[in-house]
Amino acid sequence: MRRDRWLFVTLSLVLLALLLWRPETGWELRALLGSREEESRTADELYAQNIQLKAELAKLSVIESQLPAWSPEYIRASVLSRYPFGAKSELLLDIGERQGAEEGVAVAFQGVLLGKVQSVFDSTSVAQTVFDSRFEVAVRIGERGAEALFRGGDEPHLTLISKRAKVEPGDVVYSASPLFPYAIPLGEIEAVKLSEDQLFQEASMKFSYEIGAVRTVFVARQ
Amino acid sequence: MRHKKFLAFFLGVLVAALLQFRVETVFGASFDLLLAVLVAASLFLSFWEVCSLSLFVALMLNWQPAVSLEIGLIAVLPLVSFWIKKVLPWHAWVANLFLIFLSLVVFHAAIAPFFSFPNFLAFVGTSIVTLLFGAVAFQIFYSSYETQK
Repeated sequence: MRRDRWLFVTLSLVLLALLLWRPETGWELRALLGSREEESRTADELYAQNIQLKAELAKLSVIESQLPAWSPEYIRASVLSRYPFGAKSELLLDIGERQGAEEGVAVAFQGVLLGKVQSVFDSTSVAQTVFDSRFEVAVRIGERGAEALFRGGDEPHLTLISKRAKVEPGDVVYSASPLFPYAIPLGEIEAVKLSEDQLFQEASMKFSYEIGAVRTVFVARQ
Repeated sequence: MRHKKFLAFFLGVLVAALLQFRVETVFGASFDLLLAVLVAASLFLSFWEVCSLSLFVALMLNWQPAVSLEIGLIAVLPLVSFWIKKVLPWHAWVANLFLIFLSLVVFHAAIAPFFSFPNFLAFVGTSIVTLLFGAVAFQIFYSSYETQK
């Protein structure tokens, strides 16, 4: 009985040491158990391209003259792990301070804004995605550039759209925040309705990707 | 004999992990099945066995280099259940459901109270699935092993 106890005490200490100093052991184990199907994503890629082109068109037709002359460089990063519970949506990326990652910069997937870097470690960083309920960003909609606030969560949506703004399903939604590259697309409008207080319009969003299938992303350099 | 018992619970944890990760991948829904199976195991195993299983699950769920509140709770809540069960006067299966529900409430209140509780229906839905899974896990363990006070 006593020998059993020491066995489990030792096992607990080994696991605690791994948790504190070699957490990547756990990521590998989880990747093994939760390995995802590698399916053909051609349709998703085409859809993402379509959204990018729409954003480009909106940019060129309305706001080209106001575009800042800033074109960020991106660093390619792989997704090592993801937040395992329902309350948040975070990804662990394999680039950190050493590779030039910085807090707050944009994270993109197939040219679409996926989120922002939330915290940076030595050789890894955590990205908060647009599906996190704490994620908010100022955006514009379609070729008319109607302003709105994007709110993340399980079902990301747009709020504070003026009642006079003409917004339709299929309109592209793109970033208008000084924190991110201008006019980087987020997705498309799915449906529009009036807010509960009848003062604004609200819209649900459609995305070009499945967050669970994202393996490689691009992180902007400041 | 003792090691066989621990291995059976370890296998239970692996099955719960597979289910939790696959359900999340396929349906995009996140349930706390691992927490449920750990709390159920705390009714059958010794303190250090529960500690080993909880740390194994914490290691598996940890998604970043720094230890977070979520991971701390995953490691600690089954140990708290281990102590609370000693003062609960009810039959073990009632204590199991109560402890799983208590763990879920504490977990969600600590990590994201402004997300979980305003989305009340979603919280109730995931709690029901988690409780059902915990009840099934308890019955499977109970068919082979006695609970411990």
